[in-house]
Amino acid sequence: MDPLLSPYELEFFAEDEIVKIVPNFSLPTFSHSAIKCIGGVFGPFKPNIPVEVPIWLAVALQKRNNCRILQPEWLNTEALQDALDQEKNTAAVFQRLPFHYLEISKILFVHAKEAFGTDLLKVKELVGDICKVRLSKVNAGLQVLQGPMTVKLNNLSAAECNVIRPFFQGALDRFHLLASMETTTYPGNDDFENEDLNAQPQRHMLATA
Amino acid sequence: MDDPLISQLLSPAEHVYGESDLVLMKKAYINEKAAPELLEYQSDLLARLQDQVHNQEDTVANTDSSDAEGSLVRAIWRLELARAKHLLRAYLRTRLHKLERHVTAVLDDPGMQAHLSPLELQYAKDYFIKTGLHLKDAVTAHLPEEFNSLVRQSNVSEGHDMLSAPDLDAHVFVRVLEDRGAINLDPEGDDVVELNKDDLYVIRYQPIRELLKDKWVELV
Repeated sequence: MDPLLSPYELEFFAEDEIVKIVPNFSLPTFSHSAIKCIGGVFGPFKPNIPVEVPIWLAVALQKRNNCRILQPEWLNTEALQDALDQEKNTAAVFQRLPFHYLEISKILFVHAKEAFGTDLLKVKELVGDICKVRLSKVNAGLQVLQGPMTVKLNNLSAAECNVIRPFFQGALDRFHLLASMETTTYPGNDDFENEDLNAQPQRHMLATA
Repeated sequence: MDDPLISQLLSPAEHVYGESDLVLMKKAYINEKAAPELLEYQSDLLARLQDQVHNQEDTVANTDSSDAEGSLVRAIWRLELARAKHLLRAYLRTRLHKLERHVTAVLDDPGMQAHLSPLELQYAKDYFIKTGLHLKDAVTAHLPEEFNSLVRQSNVSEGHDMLSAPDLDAHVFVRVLEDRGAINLDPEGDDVVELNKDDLYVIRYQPIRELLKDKWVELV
């Protein structure tokens, strides 16, 4: 089994995030015109009254033509342009975006095209650009990784964490291992320790690395 | 964009509909998936969620679906049930997978055994016996006697030194849930990290092990 979360799993998690919809139905026989689910009481559903629901529910309702999904406020051209500019202007930090912004955008681009109207292409492009700028920052960060350390990555999103996980974990695990070899001796390797010729170059290499 | 709006966007599901058991289950699953060792079995949470799933299944069965309203609500309930069951399965499977990988280390340590459910413990024992018998048959029976143990490198080893223990020094991605202040990364205390709410770190698992248990941090 892959230790990473798969992109499908990330999408599954992102489907719990909230979007606004405009329903075109009501549920007169259910109390408060709402649906009591395990994850909460969703609703009330009244025609033309916007309501906040999880994305999985929004998509299911939209597929049955029971609602219209509204464009999230952070996912319009102005907000994204702002985020992109900020992202470019600040080399050292990541902008605060929803933790699942890539997955949510992807789901909505597929299932709620109408929500974006004529902006769809522009919004898609902006999300792609933001992602590119952020990943290039990550790559720049990877280049300065040297030696065992703890890395701070505030505001990195779920999908971005997942992409860089193998590189970061692999490199940091190995750095840590090498650093601990420098200071500790290994059980059962006593004879190795006594052979100065063997032990010496190994230490030396690590000191200059 | 102003900050309150954004911070609401970062975990809106909990803000709008509260921390349901489904949300807790999702977090437990992600923690389990990302942690190198087997975490404590979430017995209360699983029991509650399984209860809710059964109740909801009964509700679905007892709801009239002849009208449009009933069939819509039933379809939504079914969809949510499928999601909840998927999550439960994913959690249990992830644990079984980790259990199989570290079975000798888990069975060797009563502290780790305490992290298992009774069924998982039974599974671990059965799994160890079956794979152990097979390995003995196929491999160790053909080795010299002093090297034919499954858990010791040789006869002169002190204790069990050939266990597939989880690597607690592995690095994990961790998000800080509450301000915790500075923590020491190693026993000598010359490597200090400041943990503030919403910080995201790539950090060694060992120093944050207890913090994870006490819900100061979560894995991502």
